[in-house]
Amino acid sequence: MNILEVNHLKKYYRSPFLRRKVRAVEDISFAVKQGEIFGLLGPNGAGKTTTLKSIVGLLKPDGGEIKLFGMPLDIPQRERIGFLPENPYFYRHLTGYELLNFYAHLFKKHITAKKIKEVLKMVGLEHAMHRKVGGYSKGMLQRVGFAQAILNDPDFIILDEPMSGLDPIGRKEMKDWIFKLKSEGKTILFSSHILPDVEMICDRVAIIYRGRVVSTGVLSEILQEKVRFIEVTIEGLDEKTLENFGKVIRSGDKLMLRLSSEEEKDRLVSFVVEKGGRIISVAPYRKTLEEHFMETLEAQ
Amino acid sequence: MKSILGIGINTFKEGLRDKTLLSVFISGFLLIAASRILVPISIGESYRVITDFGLALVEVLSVLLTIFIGTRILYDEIERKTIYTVVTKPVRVSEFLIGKLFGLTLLVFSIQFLLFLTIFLFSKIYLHFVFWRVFVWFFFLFFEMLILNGVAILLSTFTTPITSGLISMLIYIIANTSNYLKELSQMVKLPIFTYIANFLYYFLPNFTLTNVKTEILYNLPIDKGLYLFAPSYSIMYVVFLLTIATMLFEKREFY
Amino acid sequence: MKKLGGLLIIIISLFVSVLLVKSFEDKKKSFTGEKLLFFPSGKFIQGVACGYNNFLADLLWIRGGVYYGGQKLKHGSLEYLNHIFNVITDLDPKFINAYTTGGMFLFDDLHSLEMSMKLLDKGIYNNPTNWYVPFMKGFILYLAEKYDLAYRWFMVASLYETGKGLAFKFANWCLQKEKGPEMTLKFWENIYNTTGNKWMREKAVKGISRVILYAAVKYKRENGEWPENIVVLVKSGYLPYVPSLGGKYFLFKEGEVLW
Repeated sequence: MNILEVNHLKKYYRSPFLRRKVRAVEDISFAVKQGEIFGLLGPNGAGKTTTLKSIVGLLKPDGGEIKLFGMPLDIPQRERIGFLPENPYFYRHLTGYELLNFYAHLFKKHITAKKIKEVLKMVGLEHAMHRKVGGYSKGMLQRVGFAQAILNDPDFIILDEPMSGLDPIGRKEMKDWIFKLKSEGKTILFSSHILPDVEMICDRVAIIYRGRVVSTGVLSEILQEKVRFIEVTIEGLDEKTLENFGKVIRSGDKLMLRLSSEEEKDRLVSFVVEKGGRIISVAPYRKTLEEHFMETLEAQ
Repeated sequence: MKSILGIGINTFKEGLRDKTLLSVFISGFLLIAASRILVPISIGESYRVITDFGLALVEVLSVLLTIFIGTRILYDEIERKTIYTVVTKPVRVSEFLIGKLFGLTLLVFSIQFLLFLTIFLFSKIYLHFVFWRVFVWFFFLFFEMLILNGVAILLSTFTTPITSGLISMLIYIIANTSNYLKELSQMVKLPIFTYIANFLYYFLPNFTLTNVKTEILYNLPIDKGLYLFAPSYSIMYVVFLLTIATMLFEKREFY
Repeated sequence: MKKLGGLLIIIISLFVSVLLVKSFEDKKKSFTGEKLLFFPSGKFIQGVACGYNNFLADLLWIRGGVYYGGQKLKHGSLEYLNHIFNVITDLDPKFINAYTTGGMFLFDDLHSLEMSMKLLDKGIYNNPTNWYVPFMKGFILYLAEKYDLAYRWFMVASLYETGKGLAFKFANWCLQKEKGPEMTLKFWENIYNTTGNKWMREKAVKGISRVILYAAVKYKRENGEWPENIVVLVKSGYLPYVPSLGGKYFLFKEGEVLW
């Protein structure tokens, strides 16, 4: 079941002085399945944040359709979603606890004080819950932002650049929280331009460029089909015996060959076994997401 | 209801930290205390001069407070982007605005109450007079300011604090003078002027009917119907203002 | 909010607000009562007072006091006094003291009975239940020796419960003015003893002094010389008794009355 469906989303901004349309999102379509982690990738200005803001209601689309939980966008649906904006801003005069307590009042369901403390503990702010948010560091702000996004135990969580500004420990923690949410059956949509993070977390991605989706798919499939070469390490044979298979590189008493396909690899393995040699390792080298991303953009 | 209360109390707490509030209260307190100096120059009218001064001061300060804080209340939320995490929650725009109005009204009410208490206290000290009737004026002023708060919030949904401050002030002036304009139009007998005067009198806020300062000052009877008129009119007019504000704010986008 | 629903709420709430204003505007009577007479000074300020009429009246009262005191000190002209009191009473039609004090000053300092009466008439019109304004009018008319009119206004003042006895007494004395100095003396003694108003008390002292002086002049005309003292006037029947005010006595010395 699709938790979210975005069909041909369009959004323009009007330049206040020239009164002409500035395209932010030209035509974006994608769907997020229940229980998956979906990544929206793209360079700065691609339209990721505009898309997310249109989903949560901060912006009104100029065209297209958005369906959440199978229905057009409506306010009651927000009981079941959580949103973390990019570089979140909070009421500086409130403590972390007071802030979450304030947000708790905005939901129809009753969120207890115990739940608030649990959430703060989960994001590692238990020690700072009675400190004013105005005194929080960037990392702490991101944590409390995440806390307010999951406070209502949402089914669908939307995160806009959640790793932005976090140190490596913070990023690791954020990834752990996201995996934990997934293990609880939640669906997560997040945007990022930090590809290694996306590669580690996401089940599916959509690559956005200049307001359009240029590539969508399951991450493992996207990267699987982009195997660059297969490196085979062999022992017990000499270069001359293997020269038909391509360039041979010696590394000590081992020889390494790079093959371009599975079939070639199968032939080589059979040949080595026949000739009495030993296969030390077979390692397929896939294109990284970054390489795939750059190639896709260059193709545009 | 829960969200209205939450937003209102948060607005109130945020406003309490605003230095404007403290400055207004301290200024008001000191000026009321200093009104003692008016006694010798009042030429035998110290009671009315001190009372008048106090009542006028509280009203002026209430108006200034509404304008200083009320016109910024939405603008600051949008500028600081704290609104992002609020409007993405299951909160209707109308609930959000009512919550803001509630918070603003609570702020103005607190200062008004403290200043009225100050007048009451100093009238006892300077004039040896227990001025209970000052709370009657407080009742009417509260409902007038409720309308003005609504005006400030409506204006802040679509314009900057300076513009909404100026327009709020203008509306306050018209609200207190529309009856004279209406009377003037009857004398001038110019149709366009009559239409404008009547429009201002009936369709803009009207504070002339609830201006009971003279009755308070001279201990004259106040029409009992006025006690019902003030809250009814105030609530109805605020519904009018907030409905427009809601329809405008719903169209608002947050880039 | 659905557009139609929102528009409906706007129209209904505004309609009800206007109805409320319409239903209540007649109950709140304008204190000017009469048709609007556009006096650029008073009415204009009233219009722009923005509801702070009483407060502005107070400020003007204080300013007027400063103007009066300043002009008196340097023996300057008080030509703006009438304007000031009219503006004050336009701003605050219930300001009784402004009418009575104004009436006094306009008669005493500007020597204009007409201006004084006009101001007091305004006060009577705007404060139909107040006894003191008609009483003051009667008093000023008495000073102006218009005893018939003074009598009528004292009678008007006597119709009110507050001050009834006093005003009636004064009305009575006006009627008996012609009966001689005894009534006049009693009139002024009662003014002095019943009012805290400094101006009126001064008038009382002057009034009694005048009675004594008239009696002395009459004595001199008939006897060829000034009386030695007031006791002589009493013994020879020119005065009914030796008058005193506030515990102090009057002295007559060489054509001058001292108190």
